[in-house]
Amino acid sequence: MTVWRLAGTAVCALVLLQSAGAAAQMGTATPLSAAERAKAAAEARATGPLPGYPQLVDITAETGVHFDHRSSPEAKFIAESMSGGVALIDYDGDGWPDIYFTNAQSVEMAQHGVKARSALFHNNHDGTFTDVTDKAGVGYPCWAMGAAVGDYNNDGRPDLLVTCLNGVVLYRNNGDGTFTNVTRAAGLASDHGWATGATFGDYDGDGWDDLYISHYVDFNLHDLPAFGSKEAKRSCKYLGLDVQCGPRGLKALPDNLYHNNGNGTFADVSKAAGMRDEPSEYGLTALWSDFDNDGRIDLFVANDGEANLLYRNEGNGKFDEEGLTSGVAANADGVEQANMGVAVGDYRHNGRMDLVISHFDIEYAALYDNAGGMNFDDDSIQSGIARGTQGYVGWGDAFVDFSNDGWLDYFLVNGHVYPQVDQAHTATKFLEPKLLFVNQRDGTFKNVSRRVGPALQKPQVSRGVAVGDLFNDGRMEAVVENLMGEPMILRPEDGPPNHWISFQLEGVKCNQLALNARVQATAGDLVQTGEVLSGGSYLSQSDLRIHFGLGNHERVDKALVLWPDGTRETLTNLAADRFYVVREGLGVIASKAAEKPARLH
Amino acid sequence: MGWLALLLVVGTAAGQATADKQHAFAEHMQKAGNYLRQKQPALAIPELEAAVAAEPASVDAQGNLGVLLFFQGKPAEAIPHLRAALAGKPDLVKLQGLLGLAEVRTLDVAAGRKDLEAAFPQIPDPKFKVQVGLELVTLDTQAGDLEAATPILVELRKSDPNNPEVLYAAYRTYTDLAGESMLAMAIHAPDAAQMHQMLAHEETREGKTNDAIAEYRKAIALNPHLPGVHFELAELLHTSQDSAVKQEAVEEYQRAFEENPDDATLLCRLAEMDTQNGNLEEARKKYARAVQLQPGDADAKLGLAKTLMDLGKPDQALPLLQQTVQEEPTNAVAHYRLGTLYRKQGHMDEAKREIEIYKQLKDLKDKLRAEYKNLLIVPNEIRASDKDEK
Repeated sequence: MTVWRLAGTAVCALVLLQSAGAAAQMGTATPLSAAERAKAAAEARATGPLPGYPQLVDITAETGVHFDHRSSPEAKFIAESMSGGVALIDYDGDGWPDIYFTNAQSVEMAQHGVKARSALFHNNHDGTFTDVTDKAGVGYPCWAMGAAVGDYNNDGRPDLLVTCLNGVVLYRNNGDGTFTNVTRAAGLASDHGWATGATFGDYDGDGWDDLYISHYVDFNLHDLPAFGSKEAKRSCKYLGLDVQCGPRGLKALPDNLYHNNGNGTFADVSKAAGMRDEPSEYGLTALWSDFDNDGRIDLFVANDGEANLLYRNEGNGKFDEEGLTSGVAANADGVEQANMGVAVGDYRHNGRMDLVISHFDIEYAALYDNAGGMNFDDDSIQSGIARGTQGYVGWGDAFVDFSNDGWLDYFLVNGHVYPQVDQAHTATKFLEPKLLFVNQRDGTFKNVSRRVGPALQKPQVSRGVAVGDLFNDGRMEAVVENLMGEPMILRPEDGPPNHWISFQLEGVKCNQLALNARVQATAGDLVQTGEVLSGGSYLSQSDLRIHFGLGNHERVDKALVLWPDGTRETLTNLAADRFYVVREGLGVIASKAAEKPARLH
Repeated sequence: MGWLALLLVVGTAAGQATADKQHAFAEHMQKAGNYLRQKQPALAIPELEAAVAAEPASVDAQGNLGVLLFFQGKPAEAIPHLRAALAGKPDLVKLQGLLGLAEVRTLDVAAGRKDLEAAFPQIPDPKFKVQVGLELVTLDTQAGDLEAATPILVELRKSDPNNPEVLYAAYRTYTDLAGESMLAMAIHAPDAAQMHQMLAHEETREGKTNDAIAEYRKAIALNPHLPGVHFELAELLHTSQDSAVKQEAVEEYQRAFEENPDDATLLCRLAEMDTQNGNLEEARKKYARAVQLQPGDADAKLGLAKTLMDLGKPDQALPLLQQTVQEEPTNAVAHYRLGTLYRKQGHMDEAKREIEIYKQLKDLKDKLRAEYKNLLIVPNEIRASDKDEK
């Protein structure tokens, strides 16, 4: 009888919690309507090439890139499920993006002192890459999670920050094809927690790139949470199966804001700047951008299963956290979600930076439309993003114009957290496909994942994604890092002959990489805004150049460059299909046409 | 323990005695008072006994002595003094409550119950009221008269709603009542439709959804017009991810609607389904009808407000959300939605206020969730050990 009564109590408690919108182990169930599900099914069934859109082809094998992301097949610990960031970095300044893949150990490897080799691939300008890791000296930074690019010493050369299970590693670009680990000298050795998404940005306008580092959970290799533990406060069950524990039930770590002292060192100014440290959240991704268009960069932080943070830059070295009041902390009903990857872009052409956040499978990717004045509307369902993304565990994502039609599409890579999910005999699988949503130019998107070639349908356990014009031919590629095995490089082929334009910005008074500089490009009726962004997606770094598709426009009538220091520069009558190097105050200092590598289609 | 206050409350009427007796009485009372102020009740008792001997009609002396003896663990000795005090001043409800407790302790249950019942409704002090009320509940439970305990628990929950002793007593009593009713049903009406409806409830509580559904179907087969049965079945079916089962849920909701077209909860559920199917105007009508039927139903108002927002009518949604948060101040979603609406209308101060309330409620729910999570593991562990034993 006692048993029966206690069971009853527990059930009642459960009902209470459900009515209160209780969070699941990861993520919070946010069911879609029957109508949305029907539309999702229709879009998912649609096959055949999409008129006016290229096919996304897996060219990994042709590029010569061979990289094996180490991972435990069982993923018995949360640290074995979260890594896999990739960075595009033109480390040698030759104008061609190179690729850096981060690598992570398993717990067993770490316990036996076995390291995992991260890898830097040099772009050979012919469609292939060469592994230059050893020469560059970036092979073994740590149990690596992801990477972000910035210029910490403002010498114009992109430096590389690697986030790790136990802190960060800052590699200074020596300008000769090598890097030097300057973590300790830069004052970042004190950052020793599980670091995840990092982002560089000059928040105080002094011309030096500052740094924000998200942190996830307090994970101790010497005190591992037991796989499948029944301990009530830990989350170690999924669909009745034993799985890795966390993040719920594990202690969250605070994030850090580092001010660049201008002398090669950073100072932790988290508290002085008003960054929140209590309660700590499970931080995964951070990104600087001027969300309210007031000329000062703000900071967005995505937290796993908890409220997102949006720090408004008050301009005096301090920030005001406005996530809840701006509408981006939670969904339309105030339910906090499992926020992972972040895509930023002006998909509506209104000059404001919108956000898409990837989520856990029982949720959906959330699109927050920037309504101006630090007001965001949750348009996930109305935009059509929700219906195509539910059912997948989303990670790296990006706004990208694969077709060069002048409108940003949305690309998302997926893969479950728990390998054990395959034993549950449900529709949910560990390996998942990638998703692509085409911008319908009316504020909505259409899921065309099955209509752009078979590559996206190849199930993988993807994590990071970076986008950029790898081959300087005016097409945007996507580099996907997977948790297990080889990465995937996707290239748009056989698309329409749309025009495009690319800008590489160089700051003079502002930071030399021109992080967070914007270009507003007008080509006939197309008015687009792009921004130089550090970090984002999931643990990844995309091409720092700003790329615009132009559709059938053969030139850009006007390009307004908004430098981070507030100065504006207008360029006019720029021919399409060219790369422009723009230096602050000097206008275009170089330009070149596309070079189609011989080995590519 | 608060009884010093009682000592002061007890009347000061003195009997008509001789001057010597009066003097002796006053002297003993003064000494007793001094001992009590020094927190030496054991020394005060002989003084009060002497005072009572000098002035047996003194309510003050009798009452104080009875109280002290009771709290010295001598209920039998306390009883005559408490009775004497009450004889002199019958409206001393706290003394009567104490007398009842003393009588129960001395196994004079009938007299104890009578005094406790007389005192209980009039006791102003919540703490003592809980003590007396719970004593009565215990007596009722021991007597197997659980129904008699329920009005006492209702009153206790009004006077001290957050008291864990009261909450536990209520939980135990209502659970036992449910068990009793189930047993009675099993004995007297094992084949009734209600028996299956009841079993369905129990299966649901146990998390055995399929078994519960089977019991509901048996109930419906026996009596398709059984009140509430279609709605309850529909609610269970609606939780399924299977689209065929979900469709079955819709049919059950429709049957429930045919049985009871003016049920506001049902209307809300149907409106929710209209919303999910994109029939916003139909949803608006149903929510509006639910609000008309149950003007105090916060869920109905919130549903109507959300539908109006989806229909692009924020001005009509605003007063509904404002009413919802007034009528159900703990509805976090309503506060969040209201905050969102204020924000969109540029009323930033109001928006911040609502969001702040939402945040406080959410934090509270997070705390509750963590506590419930710890609770949830218990039944599984017990079940597992039971199974092992079998």
